[in-house]
Amino acid sequence: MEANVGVPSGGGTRIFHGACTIKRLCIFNDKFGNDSDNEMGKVLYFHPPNTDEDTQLKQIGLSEAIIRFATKFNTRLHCESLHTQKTRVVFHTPESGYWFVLVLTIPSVKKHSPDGVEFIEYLGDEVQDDVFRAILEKLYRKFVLLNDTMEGIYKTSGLEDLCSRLKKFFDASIGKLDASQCGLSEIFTGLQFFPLERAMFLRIQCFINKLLLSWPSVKHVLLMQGDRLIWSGIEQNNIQIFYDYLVNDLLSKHFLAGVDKQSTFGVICKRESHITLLQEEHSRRSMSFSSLYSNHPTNSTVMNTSVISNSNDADNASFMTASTTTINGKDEVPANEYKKFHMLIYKAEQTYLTLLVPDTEELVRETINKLEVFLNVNFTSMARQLAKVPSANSHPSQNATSGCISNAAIHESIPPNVKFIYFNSLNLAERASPTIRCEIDAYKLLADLRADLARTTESGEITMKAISETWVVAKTANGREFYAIFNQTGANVLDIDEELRKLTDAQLTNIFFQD
Amino acid sequence: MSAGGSISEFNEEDNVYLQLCPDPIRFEPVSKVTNVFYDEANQQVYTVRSGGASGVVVKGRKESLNCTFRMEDKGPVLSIKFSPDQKILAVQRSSHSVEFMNFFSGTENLQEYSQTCKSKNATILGFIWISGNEILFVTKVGIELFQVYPEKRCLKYLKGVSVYIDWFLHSVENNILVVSSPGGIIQPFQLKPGNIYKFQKLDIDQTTATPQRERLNERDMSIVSLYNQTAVLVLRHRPKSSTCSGAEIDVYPLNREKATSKSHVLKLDTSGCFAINVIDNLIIVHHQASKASMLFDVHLSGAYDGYATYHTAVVVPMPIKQFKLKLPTASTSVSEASEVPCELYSVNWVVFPPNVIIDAKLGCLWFLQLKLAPIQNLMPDKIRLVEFLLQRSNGKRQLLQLLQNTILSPTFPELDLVGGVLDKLNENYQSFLDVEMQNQMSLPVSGKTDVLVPKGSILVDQQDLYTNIFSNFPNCETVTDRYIVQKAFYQLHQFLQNYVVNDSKHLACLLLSLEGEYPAAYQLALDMLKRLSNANDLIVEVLINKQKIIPALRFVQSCERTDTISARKFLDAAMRHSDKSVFTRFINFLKKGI
Repeated sequence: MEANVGVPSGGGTRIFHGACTIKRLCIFNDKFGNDSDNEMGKVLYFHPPNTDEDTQLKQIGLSEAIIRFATKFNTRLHCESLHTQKTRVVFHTPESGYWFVLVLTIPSVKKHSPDGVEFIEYLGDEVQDDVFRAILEKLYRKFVLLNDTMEGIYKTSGLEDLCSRLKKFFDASIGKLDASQCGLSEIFTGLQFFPLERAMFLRIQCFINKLLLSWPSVKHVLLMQGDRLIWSGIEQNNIQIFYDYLVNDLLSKHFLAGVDKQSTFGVICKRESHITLLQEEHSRRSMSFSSLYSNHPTNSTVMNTSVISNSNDADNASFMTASTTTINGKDEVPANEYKKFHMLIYKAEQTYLTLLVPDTEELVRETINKLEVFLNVNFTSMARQLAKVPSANSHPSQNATSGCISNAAIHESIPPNVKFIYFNSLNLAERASPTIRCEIDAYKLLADLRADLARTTESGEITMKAISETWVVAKTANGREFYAIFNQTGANVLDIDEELRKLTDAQLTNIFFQD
Repeated sequence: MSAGGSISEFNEEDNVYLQLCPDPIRFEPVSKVTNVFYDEANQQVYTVRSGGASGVVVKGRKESLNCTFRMEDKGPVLSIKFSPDQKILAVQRSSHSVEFMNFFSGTENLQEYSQTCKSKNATILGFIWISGNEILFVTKVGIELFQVYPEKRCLKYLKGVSVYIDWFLHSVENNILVVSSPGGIIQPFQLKPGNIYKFQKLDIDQTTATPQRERLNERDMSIVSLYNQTAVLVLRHRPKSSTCSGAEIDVYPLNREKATSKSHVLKLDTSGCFAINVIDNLIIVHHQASKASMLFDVHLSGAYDGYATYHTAVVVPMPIKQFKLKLPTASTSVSEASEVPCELYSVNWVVFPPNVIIDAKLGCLWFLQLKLAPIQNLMPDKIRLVEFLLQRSNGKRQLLQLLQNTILSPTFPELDLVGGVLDKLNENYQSFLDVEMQNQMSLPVSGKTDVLVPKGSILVDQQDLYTNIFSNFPNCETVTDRYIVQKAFYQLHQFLQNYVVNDSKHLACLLLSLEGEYPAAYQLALDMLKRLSNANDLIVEVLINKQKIIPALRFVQSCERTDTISARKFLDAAMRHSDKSVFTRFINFLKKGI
């Protein structure tokens, strides 16, 4: 099951010409623009925003044509992407009739032909469809998490509201996206766990159970130490996007920066907002793990950060009514029910406690005050104990299973010329060398290798050498994926095999990871 | 949970936790012609009539320690003590010498031989038997160690230490001598056969002393053994007033390496006349004025000021249980009237460590006894009660009963309380484990390492908890089962991820059976089997069942166990495999192997 592939060298001098960028992103649904005097109605979102209407309609018209054309060949699956010399178009339809079309520019280099003529070569292989499809899906799911499904918003508050919400969300999100740096991690969106020894973990269990028992209205509890997950009471199909939202949007931006300084005592932070989660009745159907996480949004228009001591006015969260939405109705996916939640986040030391309360529950100030008294006693003492747990955890043997390892530990045990990324699709644990994106060329290649491996049986290994003398190994078995980049000049395939063995022995102990 | 309510609601009698032993040692009361002596070392009472001429009666705890003899009246006896083996009797009648009598050849015709102290003109304050034939004289100018040669009827001077001595105390349990020198210096010595080791002197806290540098009184000091350590207790008299909480007892645990300073302070919250007993590492302070006794435990937590821990009484002070003395059946008519109540906390009481109370006028020697059951009712803080019981040598039964009452209470148990109690038990268990670990490692003689000491006196282990508590739950189900029943698989996954449940083949198989409902269970199961390291055969089975013939083969190869595989099993599976090349490959493998 091993294959050695050499990447053919392109030869010639390469001068950087253009990077991969987002050229356009449009979201449309043609049911809204059927009559000829309101054609623009079907355009729900268009990026860049200053595009004139005519261009917008033309582009969308073109996309519609491609989609229709593709259905002639396969009526079950829709068109996924369109490759042209200078652009890449990625299609995604998360809800029936709603289409996302992402247009990317292909990176290019200037070259000189043997007879001295300058020309531009487009490097279509450097843009991976999988990565950008995953990005679209992730963006969509986060939108749902913070708002509602598009159809849901349309039905409850109309087309205009839908458009403005899409605009607000996607304008902000696209600004943060650097298309040239995207790769394997965007596909994984994994979780970082914070491994604990048994006694501490049980102590936390005790606390959480007590909390759930004392406050029956709290439905889900999520506990994080810094940006690492200790306990998730949220179902697996929701956790990825929710975790991503907490770590990358909420905690990093406001919590960590603004309020951190005051964290000397007690429970200090609190937000209220609304989160929509998918309630999946038949969890056994989630066989293909990446396709089913549809989450629900919160009404993120209100997000107050307030210090507990003066948070009396923090009650202006707008309460959304619960809505039930069915998506993907045409597929065999069971009807997904969405539930809306109030979200409360508390922080003590470096520990974050996230509580989700169904929005059918009345969340009044009085209840929150009582809850906070409870937390002041119980949560703060636990957070203090957690703060004493060393982050490079005392459980080296546990790293692999829970997929956690501190960055410090990675540095210690791995030579600097070796980088790796690991993902366990079954518990969604991910870990990677912090500097893996420095090897951007090799890193991008990993997504291709993943696609290649996905075509084989469920376990396999690919070892390859790039023109830059960099070796890249991809290995998958038993639901786990492991990718390594070796910057080792002059090594042969046997050396690399040996290096890989050493690396996996060190990083993946105590688990059954077989080729 | 029944212990609510204030103290006043208690039936006093039920809550009395101290009692005198029902069968005191009786002796002839002190009178004009009768002197009574008590020897702490052998716990014997000596009744000397007319200087011994009309007989000496010795009574001890055991029959073998009783004896009667006569000796010549050579003047009033100051002190009288048998050697530990009861073979030599030492009698002090003057301040310059001690007389000896051999008892190994009968109690008739006792011939005395005498030894004067080494230092001329010194006054002997007392003497201490260190072993069967070594005796220590304590004089005003020093201590002197002698070897006794009973056959030769003489003594030989071994060694001595010069020190001015006002008075001394001796702890029998650890053979520690504490002497008080002029100027309030307290100097402890460790006595060993043939040797005397000097400790660093006590760093008596002078700040709490009264302005005129109170002279430490012999009566206010006692030497006791607490938790395997000898400690000197110093009573600080202070009148109780609005600014002062009354008398205190400072506890100085003796330390050979460094100067001993006080580590605990017992706040008596009253003033007057006190006496101290120790039972089961508990300090019992009798207060004469209020006729009540207080209980202190230095191992319980208290306020700490950076130097010492301040303790208040564990439970409310209670009197000793009323004692009715059976009068000897001198009168011919045996009636109920032959029982008379004794006066407790009488002025005639003399209290000796560890738990001896003597009423010289009545002619009774009691051993004080402690009952744990009433204390349970007197301590409302159940977690503290658990700490307390863990320190008691016979606390286990009480502790388990308390646990049963708490956890198996018919109403919903208070989870906080249960959690707190179990935390305490775990802490204690851990300390025992640590000690065991240290013993197993048997560290070399690097004197630095602190010797670990288990926290409690008793150990409540899994077996105890299971038999007494958990087996009482009608449906004993584990956390794992609970999650499976609720289909909270991801939560179960997180549990296993943190190794909360120990790996086992049983659990792995359970996980394998869950694969249909939760695909990740398969991965968890294989990981677990891998970790078990004795389950490789099972892994092969699982892989073959999954039609993963080649991976199974590779696994066997990686374990270097190819010679043990069942070719039939593999062939069967390979035959059934949809990919025919698998079969071919397996055949090729076999050929190569052969």
